[in-house]
Amino acid sequence: MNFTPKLILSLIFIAVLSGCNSGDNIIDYASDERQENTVKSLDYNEDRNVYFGDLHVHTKYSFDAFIFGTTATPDDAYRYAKGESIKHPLGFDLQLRKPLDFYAVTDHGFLLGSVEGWSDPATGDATKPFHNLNRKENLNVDSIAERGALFGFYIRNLASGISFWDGLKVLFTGDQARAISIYDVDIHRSAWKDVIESAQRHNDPGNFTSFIAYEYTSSSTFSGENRSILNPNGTGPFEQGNLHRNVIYSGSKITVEPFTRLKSLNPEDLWVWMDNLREQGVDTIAIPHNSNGSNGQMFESETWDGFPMGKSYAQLRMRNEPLVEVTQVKGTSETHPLLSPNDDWADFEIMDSRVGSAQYSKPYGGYVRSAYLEGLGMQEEKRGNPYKFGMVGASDTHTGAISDDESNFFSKVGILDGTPSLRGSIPLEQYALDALGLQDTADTAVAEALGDGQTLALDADDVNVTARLITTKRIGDNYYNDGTFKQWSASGLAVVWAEENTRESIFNSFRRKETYATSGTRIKLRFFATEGLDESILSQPNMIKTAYLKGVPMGGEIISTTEVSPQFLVWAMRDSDGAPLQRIQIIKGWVDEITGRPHEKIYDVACSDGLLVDPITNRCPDNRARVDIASCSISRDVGSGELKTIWSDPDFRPNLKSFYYVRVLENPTCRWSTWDAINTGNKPRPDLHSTIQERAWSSPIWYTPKSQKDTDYVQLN
Amino acid sequence: MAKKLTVFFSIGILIYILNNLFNSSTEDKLIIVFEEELDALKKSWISQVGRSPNKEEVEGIINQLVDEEMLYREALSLGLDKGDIIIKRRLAQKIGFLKQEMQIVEPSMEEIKNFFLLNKDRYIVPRKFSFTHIYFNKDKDGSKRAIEAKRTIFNGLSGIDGDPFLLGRNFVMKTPMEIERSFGKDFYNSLKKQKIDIWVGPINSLYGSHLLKITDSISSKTPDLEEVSELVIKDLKFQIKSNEMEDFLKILRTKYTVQVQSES
Repeated sequence: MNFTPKLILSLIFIAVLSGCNSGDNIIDYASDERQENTVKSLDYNEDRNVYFGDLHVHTKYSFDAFIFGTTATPDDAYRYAKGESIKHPLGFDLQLRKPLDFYAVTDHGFLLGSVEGWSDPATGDATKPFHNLNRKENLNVDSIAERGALFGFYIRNLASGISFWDGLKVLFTGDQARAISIYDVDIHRSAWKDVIESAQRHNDPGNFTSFIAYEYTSSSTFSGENRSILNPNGTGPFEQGNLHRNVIYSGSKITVEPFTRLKSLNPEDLWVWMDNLREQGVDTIAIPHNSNGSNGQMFESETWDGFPMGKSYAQLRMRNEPLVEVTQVKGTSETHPLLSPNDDWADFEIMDSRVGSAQYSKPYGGYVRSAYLEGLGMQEEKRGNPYKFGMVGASDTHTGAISDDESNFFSKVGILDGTPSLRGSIPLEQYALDALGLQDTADTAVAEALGDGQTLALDADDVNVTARLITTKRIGDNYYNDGTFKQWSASGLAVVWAEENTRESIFNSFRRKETYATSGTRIKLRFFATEGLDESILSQPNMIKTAYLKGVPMGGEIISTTEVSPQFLVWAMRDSDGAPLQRIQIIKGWVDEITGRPHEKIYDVACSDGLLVDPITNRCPDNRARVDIASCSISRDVGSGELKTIWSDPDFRPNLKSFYYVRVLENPTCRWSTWDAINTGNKPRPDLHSTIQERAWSSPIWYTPKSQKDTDYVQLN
Repeated sequence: MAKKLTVFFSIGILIYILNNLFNSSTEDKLIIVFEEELDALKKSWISQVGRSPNKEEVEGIINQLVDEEMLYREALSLGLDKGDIIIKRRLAQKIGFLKQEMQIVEPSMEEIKNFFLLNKDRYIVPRKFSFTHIYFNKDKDGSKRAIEAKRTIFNGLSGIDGDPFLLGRNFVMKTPMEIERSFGKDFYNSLKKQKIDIWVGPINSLYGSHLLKITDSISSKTPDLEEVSELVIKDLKFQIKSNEMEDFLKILRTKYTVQVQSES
């Protein structure tokens, strides 16, 4: 039997050869007949067109989406974006009111395709809990407990009890997935290939752009106690600060496998991987999201290993992360009432828990505006600015279909929040209790047992599993689901200014940060900082051309040549299916050069209905727009179709680094929870906001005094 | 007795020789690397690395292939492939992949025509309009200014600017959906009734009043196969690919009989 050691050696040798970096091999999926377009499209516009899209969409290949009952393929997702109708996991039809211009399927990179694979009974007893999970008769609300358990418990414990062999595989491949005995790399790669090929099929230069993409789903651990290669989370309490980001490929040259959290939880390792790809001619960007659920970890001032951030960190991050997702179904991350106590509009679709956990998420370090301020402060200390990013919105849907319409909201986790009752907008219905093995709600004994703030658990061990599924709250005679879903939001969209609707042109906008975010509405928004322009520009037909010539668009940096404020040109147009515009605001942030303290100030710069800004308060007068909560109808003749102004900063100080971004507000309309109640004949739940003001946020323009031009900062392109 | 023994041993020796000759002969320990196989590996190497492998790298490729082949044969001789659910499933998967990737066969003209006839709706080219408009902002007395401007145009005067419109002044070959997206439904409903090549209006949108001149329009039509053949062939191939496995299974189902046996 002296052949055994040789066999082992050979196996190890093969593992090293084929495993090590095999996931980084690059394949070009461009088909011969459809080369990257060389002819300009009919819509080509050197002053740029506006395009609306979503860069954050999950399909059945995401481990969680499949558990939530999603069977939609990437192909279905793209068909939906183009205006066709697809099915919700609960069987009803989903269709966009207006098609989108671009879309990216971003399934979770780790275990991509695996859970669907395990639902095949041929995979044996080890995968039994997943077998035939999404058979037709199981796609209903009775299956929520089963799905909750799979999501919460089973997935987390996949890699326990690693064998010696699996451990070796992990060592040689650097991929934790190999430690999962039921993991099958071929299934993983073929699912990823399907994601790629589907995007390739749907990409239609000039008409519709798809991007090949995936989600890198990392999270913070707890102080790294006893961390090891087989136990990356360490021991001790699990912080679970959300560090997720979407990786978007610029073209059709794609790695054989995505770089996932099972290769490293440290986002800096992802960026190094992206840097390496770029050297091989494959450009990618990463877009972080749900900083609101990061417990302050997304916009930290220290690196992963706990060192202070410096210039090289800032450069590495900005090379790879020019954009941040500021709004999506799991809440908006612009700012928080505790961070911006003087901002009357800060309390907008706030989700106060961490992602996938009921724990409170610390606001500081989790919101975009404070990150911009933090970045300026670091720049002031000559440490570079790692937070000079632009903004986009997204949905993060897990059904393949973006859900951004308040009046027709289906949230995002498939069966788990597919009904108003499960989302917490109307009282809990009997089926939810049945599914969790409970009796009649009318039964007083049960009602008392439920009490207030009680969690319906499957059994004692599964408390954590169902904690976020259903937590009851008693209001009057009714019990509502008080879990995190009630704080979710019918949001959002990514918007770009690009010459034409092609991958190349739109990806260049991402790099330039000439992007903005909306809460789902299709407000059109222009924003420039210019020098040497006045009011007369507003009525000139070539004003946009002039603005590009004499200034910089959103996402840019203006370096002063004079001692006076730049002239900020803002122009917004309402969504033809949304509410009229109420006001345009400019939000300014700066850091005091002596104390280093961050400051922010909000200026209303244009008001609807010809109203004028009060120069003392910087606020528009009330335009008297109202919502009738009983029917969701809104005031007919108030608000504007478009707003346009040229604005100079009245508090301008030429030697102060600062940033300026635009927020456009619509007249108030019903929130989705109010629509849910009205559509089902219920009263709106009293402890939720009944109305919202849909809005758009531009990427900032940074103002830099000429004397302080930061020569250290290297930007790509 | 001795005779019997001799016969017995002779037969034994014969069996041994025959066995060596036919079974465990050198053929069993011979690994032939076929040119095509090596070429395919080189190609995939080139596509991954971006250049041709040099002599040493070719040797590396061959060595890897040989190692794999040796281990594979040893594993087979140990019977490791029997009763292994993973291998069974891998083979089933492989035939599935093969079925799906066997798409080198181009569909016949007949098939393309039939597919097109069945799915004509998918290829309808929507109505399209090219137009110029002059916009008057609602908040700046737009409707009144629009009427005055119309009069100016009727009197043969030019040089009317109106207000700048965020999406521009000229629109080329836009579908109803695109016009509704930019101007709202009411605007499109008025636009579609207007005559071509003359200034009309004012037409109202959510943004204000517009004077409008449609410069070109093409009506909705079902294209001829020739115009969209590329797209049709692509769709057809995708459908064939998606159906391939199901069709294959259907054929197989007619060939197999299934018996479920209880374990008792």
